[in-house]
Amino acid sequence: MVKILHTSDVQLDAPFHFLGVKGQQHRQQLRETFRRIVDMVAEAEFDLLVITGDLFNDNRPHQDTVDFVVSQIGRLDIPVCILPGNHDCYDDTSVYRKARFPDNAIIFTDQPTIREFAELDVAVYGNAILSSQSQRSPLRDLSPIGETRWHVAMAHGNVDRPDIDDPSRPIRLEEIRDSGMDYVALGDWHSFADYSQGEVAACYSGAPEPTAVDERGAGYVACIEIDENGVRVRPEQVGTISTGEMSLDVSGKSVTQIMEEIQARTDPNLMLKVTLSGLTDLGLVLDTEKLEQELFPHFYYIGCSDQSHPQLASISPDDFPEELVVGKFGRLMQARIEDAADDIERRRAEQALQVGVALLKGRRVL
Amino acid sequence: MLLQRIALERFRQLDRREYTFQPGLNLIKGPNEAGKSTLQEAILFALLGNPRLKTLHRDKRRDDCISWGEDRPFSITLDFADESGTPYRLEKDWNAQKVCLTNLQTGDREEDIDSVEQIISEILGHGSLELLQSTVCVEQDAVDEISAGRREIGDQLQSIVTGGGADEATVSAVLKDLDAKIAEIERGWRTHAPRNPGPIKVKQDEMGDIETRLSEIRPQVERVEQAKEQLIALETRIGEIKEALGPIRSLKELCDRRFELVEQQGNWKAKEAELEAKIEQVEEATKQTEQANEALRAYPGFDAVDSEAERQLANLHQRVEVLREEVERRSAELKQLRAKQSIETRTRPGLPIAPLVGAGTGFVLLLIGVVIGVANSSVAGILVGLLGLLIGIGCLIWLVVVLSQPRPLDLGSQIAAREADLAKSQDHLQRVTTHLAEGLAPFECATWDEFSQRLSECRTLFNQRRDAQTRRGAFLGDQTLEALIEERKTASRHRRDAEEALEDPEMQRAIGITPLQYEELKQDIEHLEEELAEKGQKRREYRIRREIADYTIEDVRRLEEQKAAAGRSLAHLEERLAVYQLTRDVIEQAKEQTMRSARDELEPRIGAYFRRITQGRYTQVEADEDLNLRVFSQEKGDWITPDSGELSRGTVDQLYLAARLALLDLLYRDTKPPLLLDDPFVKFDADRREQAMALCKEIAQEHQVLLFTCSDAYDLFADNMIDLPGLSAQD
Repeated sequence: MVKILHTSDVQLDAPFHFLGVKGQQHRQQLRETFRRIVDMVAEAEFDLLVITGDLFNDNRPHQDTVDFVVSQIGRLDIPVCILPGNHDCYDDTSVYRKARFPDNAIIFTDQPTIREFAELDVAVYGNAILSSQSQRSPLRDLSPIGETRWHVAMAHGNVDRPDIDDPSRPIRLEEIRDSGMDYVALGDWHSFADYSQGEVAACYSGAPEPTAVDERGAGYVACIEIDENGVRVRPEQVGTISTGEMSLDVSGKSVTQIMEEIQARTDPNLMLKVTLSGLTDLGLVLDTEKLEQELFPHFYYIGCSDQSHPQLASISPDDFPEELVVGKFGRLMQARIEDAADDIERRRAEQALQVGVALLKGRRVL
Repeated sequence: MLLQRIALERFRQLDRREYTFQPGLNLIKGPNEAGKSTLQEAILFALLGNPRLKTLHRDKRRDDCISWGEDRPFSITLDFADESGTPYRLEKDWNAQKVCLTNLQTGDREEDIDSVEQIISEILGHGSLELLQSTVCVEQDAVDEISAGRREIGDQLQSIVTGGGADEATVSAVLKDLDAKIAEIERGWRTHAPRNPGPIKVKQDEMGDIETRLSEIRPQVERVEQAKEQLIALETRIGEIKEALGPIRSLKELCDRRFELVEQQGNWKAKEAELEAKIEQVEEATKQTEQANEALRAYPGFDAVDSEAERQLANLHQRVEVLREEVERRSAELKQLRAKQSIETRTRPGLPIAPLVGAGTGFVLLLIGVVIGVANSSVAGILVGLLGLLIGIGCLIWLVVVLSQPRPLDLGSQIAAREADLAKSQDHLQRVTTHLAEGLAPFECATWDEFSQRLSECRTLFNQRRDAQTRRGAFLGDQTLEALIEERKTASRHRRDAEEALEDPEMQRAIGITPLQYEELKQDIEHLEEELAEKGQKRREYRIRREIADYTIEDVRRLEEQKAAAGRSLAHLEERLAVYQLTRDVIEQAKEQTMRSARDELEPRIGAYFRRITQGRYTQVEADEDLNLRVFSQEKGDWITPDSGELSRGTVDQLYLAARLALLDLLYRDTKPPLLLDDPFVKFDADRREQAMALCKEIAQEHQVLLFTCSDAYDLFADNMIDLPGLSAQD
């Protein structure tokens, strides 16, 4: 039996603009997770480690990061197959040209596309991505020509899926099915996904740590076992950071209640994307930046998106008599909201309505 | 609306209490902490509170209103009648979070909270709890502040017209706050404020600083990255050069080797020839030496002839010769003497006449000359004298010579002497000749000439032998012939080795290289080595640049992330600013429209109420756009403002109450909600209190009035009295 650990899209040294000052911490986290993967490979006695693209976020990683990767790979006494992806493509400035990797690291460059490991009875195939703009199928020209018993292909690209409109590095499902491989190790997508076709097992391992707040299914590696009984794929969680999405209807709720509901999901390792929706009471001023700042200590990252709207229907003569400034203001703002030329103007008018009503009702919201 | 009854369960200190109200002035009387304010709140919550919310009103929490010792929230039941007299029962249970409005006339029940709120709003005129509180409730504090001059009536009115329900919220204050906030945000951005910049300016400066740092760092990092990329190109090129240099260096080395071998071959060949010649000459010299030695065997003893021996023999030979010449000479002399003796014997010699004659002649002539000369003193005499002198002298000399000749009388002795000498010389000659012959005998030479001849021949042979030996020695030097031969063999072997090496197939590659090609090869190598050195130097420079970089890509990423965060914050601030500006503009617009309308409507209403209250003393009231009031004093003949001190405190209170009633009319055009007065006159003096109560009685004809007080001073005015007992020990 051959045991392979498959990972991809570690994206070491990626910038994280959305994380702001926490970006550096997350870069460090990616390193730690990669170290954990190497630990896992060593402890669980895997026979082969395959990294199917985007190990680095680009071809200009920090020298320390390169040294770190080199040292980690050097810890292993098994072959490590590395396929350059679209982020760390094998162009003239490739990081794989700049660094001297350990002898057990097999970098799939433009040549060769096959590497046989006789002691494992496995041949590994792969077309390195030579340009970040590559439009070619990463499975092109790959067939099980090796003389080994098992054949594993590495491919960094986009499996043909109707809901995804990305023509770059396309992988058709038929290509997987007809590849003749035992296992196709896919990379490029950050979520674990099984795309086995026919007799051919194929999986995206996903990124071991999320690199964006909306990456569901990140945080895994794929553990592959190949023997006479077939190929078994098992996702194994390695990531520390999880992602989550919370849709919160703020209708009739106060800021305190909203805060409490979000805080209920407190997790220092959670990247949480909160979408506030519903119809808010007039005068409820939702300052998402302030919310994020106050909730920041409770999460690894929190991003709030305010999709709520003020309850315009409540601008009724009963609650907002026209004889009062607040009533007149409500109506003027209502007209502006309804006549807004675009979403930005509408959003601004809605927020002005909320701020104005709050102020006129004597609330200190400035 | 006419409130009729309220029943309370677990509402603070009013647990299981029920109170009944009547039209007109209801006096709810009790000491402090008896529950007056609680009852007032209960009425408001009963009307417009939402049992589903945990917050009742503003910051008042539901749970804070639960009776002590109770876990469950409260419930309130309120009976009332609308303007048409239709009775209703409104039940609200904050525990069950339920509402029920029952039309007691028809029995219709409505439990949907929104619908119930709608009905209540219609009956009340407005559905806002805050509005209700700010309009129908006249609190002690508000009146107190007006009468104490701490707050303007206009502010109070504006606060109500603003609509927030908060006493402190006036539209003017809101606009002021907004202006201040906008100015604070904009400070230093659109205005110059170097010391205390606003948040936008701060963020812009922060972004500027980040951008500045990035503009400093990025080029450095870019150079490092370019250095890394250049290193790749350099490594590649260096690899190519080394790869290219390999074969051509090898070919050049082959050529150099070939040249060396050819040179070696030539050198060894020459050496071999030189040694061969030397050997031949050595052998020739050896042969000549041997020949000389062979020839010298014919000259026995000559090898012992040294220069001393030769000198002795030569001396002997020379003495022989001298002696022989001496013998010959003496023989000849003897012979001559004998001949002469024989002649003299025949002819004796006489005096020498001729010289004597000549000498006499000379003297004569001399005398003649002297005579002549003395006599005549002529030249001829002198000349003749001289001539005679010369002749005389010459003949004298001649005579001396003749006279000096031997005399024939000595010849015999001379011959005898000569014969003795001759014999002596002959004897000496004989001895020396014998001695010479003895000296020559070992050399088998009979004569000196023979000896000399043979010695010369021998010496020639010696010289030849010596020359041959010298040549041999010169050729051999310190070596032996055998060593020379060995050396020649070695040279021959080296020559053959070089020839064999040149014959090597690998060497054949170099044979085709022409000198021109070889020069080109050298130039190529030189160029490539120069390029290699240059690239090597650059590689070192790039490596150093890479190693000693002050900043890394991580610094750039960190700054870009900070910049992104600052950018988001700035965008947020700018949007907040736009929101505040829009809020301000629209509030300003709303204020203009509302205040103008309010003023137009309030002015006559306040005037009417005030005229009625003051029993016609003041007939005109004016309000400005901020609802600041002034009244016309007929006594003064001019307008007076409430804060001028020209109106009595009682009159100011009355003006305020008139304005509040006018506001009620303005806001509740078709409805008459009950008026809740929270002991507003407690600090009034008796006179002012009486006037105020007279006003209340007036108001109570249209609005049901609930006057909450702890004083007994109003008892006479009450249409209905509700006593709230003080807290018992049990409570």
